[in-house]
Amino acid sequence: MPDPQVAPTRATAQRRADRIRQFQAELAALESDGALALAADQRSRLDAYHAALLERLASTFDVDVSDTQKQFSRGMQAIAIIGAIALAASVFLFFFHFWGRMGTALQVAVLIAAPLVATGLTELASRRQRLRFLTGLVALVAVACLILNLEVVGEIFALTPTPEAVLAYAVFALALAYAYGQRLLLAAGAVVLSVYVAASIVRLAGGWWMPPDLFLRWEGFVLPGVALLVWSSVPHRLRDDFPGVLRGTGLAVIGVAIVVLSREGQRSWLPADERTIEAVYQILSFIVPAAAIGLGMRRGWTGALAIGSLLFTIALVTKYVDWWWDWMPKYLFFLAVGATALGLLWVFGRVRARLRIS
Amino acid sequence: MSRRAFLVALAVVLVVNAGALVSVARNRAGEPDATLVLEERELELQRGDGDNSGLLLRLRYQHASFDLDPRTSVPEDTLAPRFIDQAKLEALGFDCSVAAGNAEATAKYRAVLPRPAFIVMVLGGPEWERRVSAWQERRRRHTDDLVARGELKGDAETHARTEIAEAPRRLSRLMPVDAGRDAAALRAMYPDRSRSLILRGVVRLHLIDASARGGPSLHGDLDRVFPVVVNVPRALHAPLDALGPPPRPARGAGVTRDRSAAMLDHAPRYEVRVSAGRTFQPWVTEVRLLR
Repeated sequence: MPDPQVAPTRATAQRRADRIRQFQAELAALESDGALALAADQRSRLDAYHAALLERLASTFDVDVSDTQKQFSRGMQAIAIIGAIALAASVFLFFFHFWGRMGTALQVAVLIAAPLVATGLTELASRRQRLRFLTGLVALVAVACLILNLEVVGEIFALTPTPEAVLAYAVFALALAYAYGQRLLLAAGAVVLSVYVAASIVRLAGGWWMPPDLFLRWEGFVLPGVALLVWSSVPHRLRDDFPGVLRGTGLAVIGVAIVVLSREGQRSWLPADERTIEAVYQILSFIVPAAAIGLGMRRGWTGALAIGSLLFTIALVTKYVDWWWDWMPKYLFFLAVGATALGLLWVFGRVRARLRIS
Repeated sequence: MSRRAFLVALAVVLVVNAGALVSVARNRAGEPDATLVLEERELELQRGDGDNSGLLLRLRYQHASFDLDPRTSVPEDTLAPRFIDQAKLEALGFDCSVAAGNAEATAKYRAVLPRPAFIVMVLGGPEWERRVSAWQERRRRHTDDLVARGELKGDAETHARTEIAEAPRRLSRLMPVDAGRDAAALRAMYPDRSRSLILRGVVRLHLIDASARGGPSLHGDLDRVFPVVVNVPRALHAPLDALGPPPRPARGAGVTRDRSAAMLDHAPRYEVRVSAGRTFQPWVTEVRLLR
């Protein structure tokens, strides 16, 4: 069980372990430079304290206590995702291999049981911290099972697709994300929830809501994107790594919508001339990323900073292409892009220096 | 929080499945809205490969722009009628306030959202027979032209002429004839429940500009109909399991399948009784082999 005296969550525990390792490295450097020399008994008490604490963190939260372990963890995460995709494919193929031999009642029972069993297995795996990669893997399989469940029940009974199925996928993924601290599922659930909101708006307006027609209108994605940003500001005491994921996903959803609308004004709900709409969104395509970069720098939101920078670059390069690509010699075009990058480096360098002074 | 989120996940599975099953029960309760006997030409067997043991029947119907671009084809190109004109589009809720010939029409209709609608499919009948005869006549003229130019000969010519002659037995008899937002009103207009099937579908608006044939005009295209496939329950598999693979057509080199009509490559081998319920979701109630 987590020890709130040491750390309330795995993410906090990992940060504590990282701090201890950084402290130990810095202490060794100070001692080597002769800037600090702890007494032998102080040093041994400190070492013993850190060793015991790291042992506790490792046994309670399965945190990584060395760089090698961290690299292994990253590898295991990647393997877990690949494994989840393979297992989900296996579940799909297994079902389709046998479903023709089952009566309708048995088909439906198996389809409903699959996500329930996978959710139960996720719960079991989550009770052992050392099985956290397995927890993530089974949780992803559980989501795949629910998709199989609803899609095939729909096919068996010839049901017309509804956005409520999309809502079910989103809520299910988010519930598993919050239950088991799964950031990938959180981001996926947030994106699917955005799709549900956009689809519901299209349906309310009397339109057909399924992709690709859904992407004929994009403002529907801005609303859930903003909602994700608001949601990220809600304190997450037990999932303190979630706000960053929600913020990043919200920004990405808003950013993609703005980029599309800045290029194709006819995909807007706004009752205005498409050139005017494109102009408005082109301005927004600079303002929103700039705001994200500013906030990211001020509050230390590295995710917002990265996504804001990416969106800003996309907006800038897109505008450069519009203005110059057709008539400018290509060497001059790329020189202009490079010069802009140098200009941005200079601006950011000034800001960075000011931050150091402050 | 973990416990609560875990319970929410379980609840989602149960609630959403309960909702789906209630919808199925509602659809199948009471007298069906329609019961039709369709053949292989309307419900083509889509047998899974070794990895799929299920049996699905793909709905095939005559489509006014069956694989053809509605902006470049004309009604005479296809067997089915173009039944969604501007008035029908407006009745379906499309905003057609800018005339097709107006300079602003292209911008206005470039990214119009398609709209859901109820679609009436009629099975065979005098109108279908008349259209099949006209279609055969057009195909015969076209074939004669190709033969005269030396582009069709030998086995390919024989196959083309056989296909035209056998069209009344091979062409899908399901033809969409009307669309609307009110299923009850459509049923009142098409009361024969053994010949007209109401399904849900999606209609897309096309602007046919002045340079295209039939332009400038606004045209509705039946984008899709639900369901795309109908599942055959295990209990009804037996007759279809007894069928071998469909006979392969001997078209001859260089001759491709005619895409202006939904047609089988061979005579239908089975018939299927299909019912559609109160929420217009069809299901199979009987499968019988044809002699």
